[in-house]
Amino acid sequence: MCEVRLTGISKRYEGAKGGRATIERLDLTFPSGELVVMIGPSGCGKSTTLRIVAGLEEPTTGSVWIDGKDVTALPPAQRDLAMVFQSYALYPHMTVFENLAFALRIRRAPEAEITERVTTVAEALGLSALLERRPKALSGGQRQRVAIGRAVVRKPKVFLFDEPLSNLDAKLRGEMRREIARIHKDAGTTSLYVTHDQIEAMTLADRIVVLRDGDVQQIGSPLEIYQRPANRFVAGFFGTPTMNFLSAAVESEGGGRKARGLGFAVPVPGPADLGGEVVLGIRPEDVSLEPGGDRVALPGAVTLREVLGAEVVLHVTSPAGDVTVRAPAQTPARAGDAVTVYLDPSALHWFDAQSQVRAA
Amino acid sequence: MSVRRPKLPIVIGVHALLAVATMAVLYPVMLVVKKAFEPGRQFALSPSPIPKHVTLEHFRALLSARGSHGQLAFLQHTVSSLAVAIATTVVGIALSCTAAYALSRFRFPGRKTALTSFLVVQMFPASLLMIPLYVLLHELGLLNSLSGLVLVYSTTAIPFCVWTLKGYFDSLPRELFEAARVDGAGPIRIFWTIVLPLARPGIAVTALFSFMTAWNEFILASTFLTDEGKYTLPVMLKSSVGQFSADWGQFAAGALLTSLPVMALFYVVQKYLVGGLTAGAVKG
Ligand SMILES: Nc1ncnc2c1ncn2[C@@H]1O[C@H](COP(=O)(O)OP(=O)(O)OP(=O)(O)O)[C@@H](O)[C@H]1O
Ligand SMILES: [Mg+2]
Repeated sequence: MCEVRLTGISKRYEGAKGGRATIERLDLTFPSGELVVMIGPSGCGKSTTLRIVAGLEEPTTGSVWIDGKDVTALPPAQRDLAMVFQSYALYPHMTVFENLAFALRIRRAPEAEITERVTTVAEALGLSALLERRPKALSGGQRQRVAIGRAVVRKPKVFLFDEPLSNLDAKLRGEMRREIARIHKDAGTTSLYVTHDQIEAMTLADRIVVLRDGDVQQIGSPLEIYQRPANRFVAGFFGTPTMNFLSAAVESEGGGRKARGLGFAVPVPGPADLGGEVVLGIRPEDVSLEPGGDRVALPGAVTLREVLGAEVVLHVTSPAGDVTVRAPAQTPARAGDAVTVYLDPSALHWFDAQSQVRAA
Repeated sequence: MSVRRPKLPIVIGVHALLAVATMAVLYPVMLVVKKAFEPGRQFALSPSPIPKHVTLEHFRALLSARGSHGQLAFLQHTVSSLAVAIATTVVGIALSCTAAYALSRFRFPGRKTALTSFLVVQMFPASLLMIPLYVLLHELGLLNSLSGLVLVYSTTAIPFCVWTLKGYFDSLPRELFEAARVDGAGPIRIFWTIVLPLARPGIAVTALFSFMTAWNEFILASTFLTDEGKYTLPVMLKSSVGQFSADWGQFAAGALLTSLPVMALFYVVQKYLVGGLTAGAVKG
């Protein structure tokens, strides 16, 4: 059990254009035994953060703490963590067995123990028949399993994964995802997992850290992130199809307040500290073609109908902007049809138009 | 993407050009081969590369010729040459592998300067360095010694070897080194267990180069070696065709025998020239 903590970490690469720091004053805690997923768009500094934890990159400022110990000055070898690289990075001139045994040999483990641990891990990962092969004689999925095995066999304090599945096809990715979840559940090792695949993040994470340009946007459980995104960026990052955003302005009307946009008006929830321009977010599954309850109507026309099998996705243009709707497969609306979409006011996410931050 | 087959006239033209070029390269060699197997001491003036009569007389005479102490002269010079070439290769490779590793993987003060000076040093032909080298060897008391020659050859081969090997080390995927570091390996272990095995093709090529440099070199060897007994093969061959008596038959036979080891080495090394060893390291 072991906690990883980053305090005041900044990273400025030499010769980076504009001299902008990749990471600026990052404070993060990765609780002991949790699998924390770091997610964000390309170039936001996920790999950099992971490599700083690994000791492969030196932070410009700040400290890295593992298990309550400041390891900032220690080389990777002395941090007792294992890393799985996106490119696998298997030793091409060694057999699978030797790849798995490499780290144990460096630690001068007894030969009997090496054989036992390698065999156990190989069995668990379905590599037993491949132990004498070289990496080039393996398929992508098998290589990935060796790369994971190489990390697992060491029983390190911390696992680091840098987009380990992004070179695999969709089916293998699903399998390996469950494999990693199982390994984490069995070993309970603190794990840092970098990805830009939101499905991996949602399914694997105990906790998600959303990064953007080296800044933490939100930290929370997968459900919190999905149900209460802290700002418009996070709201738009998770969910497929992405959340709809409608502009509106808050105005007082009679006793209460209403947010009025083009073609619609919704009551502002009581305690919300809102005024002026707002952005309303609503997920495609919270938009319906059926009226009912206190749903708010918005007129529009279907521009595109995408059949996904169990359901259809309708793209609707409305005066307030484009709206995506997830609807049952039997929905009759076709491209060109005029429709009215109904928004569930209780499912609305309210963001301040200026700061983009969640208001309610 | 489909590869378009070139038109017939172009194919014929290209092949004709290649055939002419091959002939131009091979013709002088064939004349030497002819002389080696043809009876007589003189170079025949006939331009035909096919000998009229074939004999092994020159080889027999060359191999059985005895030096001043009754030793087999050709064998003695072969041993000198081999000793110099192998020692040069070993010293050169050992030093340039380690230097190239440092220059490729570490950043330290003086790194740029070292790389540039290695490059600049290569621009001077060996004959230009003859006089300073002579003085240096004299000071070191290594004139007329094979070890002095090894020293000179290593220093001329090392810059090229360092650059070649550095290029090779640079091309090894960065993640391999990082994976090894995270696995707990230090720089020396990474050098032995990752870099050297993976760089075998590059090392083979540079070893071949070092060997050839030492094996074929004539000017420096003939300047620094004064004792006939220590002559390397090229020096010995040249001295066998003196001003007054020239046995071109034995010379040709000796030249052929001298080129055999290099050809053999090329044959051994060629698989490294073709095959890459890093396949399967990273994706794909
Ligand atoms: N060695 C380096 N030298 C200079 N700049 C670098 C270096 N490594 C990364 N960067 C820059 O730092 C920023 C963050 O890079 P990083 O690799 O951490 O992104 P990432 O979030 O992992 O992206 P991706 O999802 O594409 O892997 C990028 O703008 C990148 O160009
Ligand atoms: Mg990355």
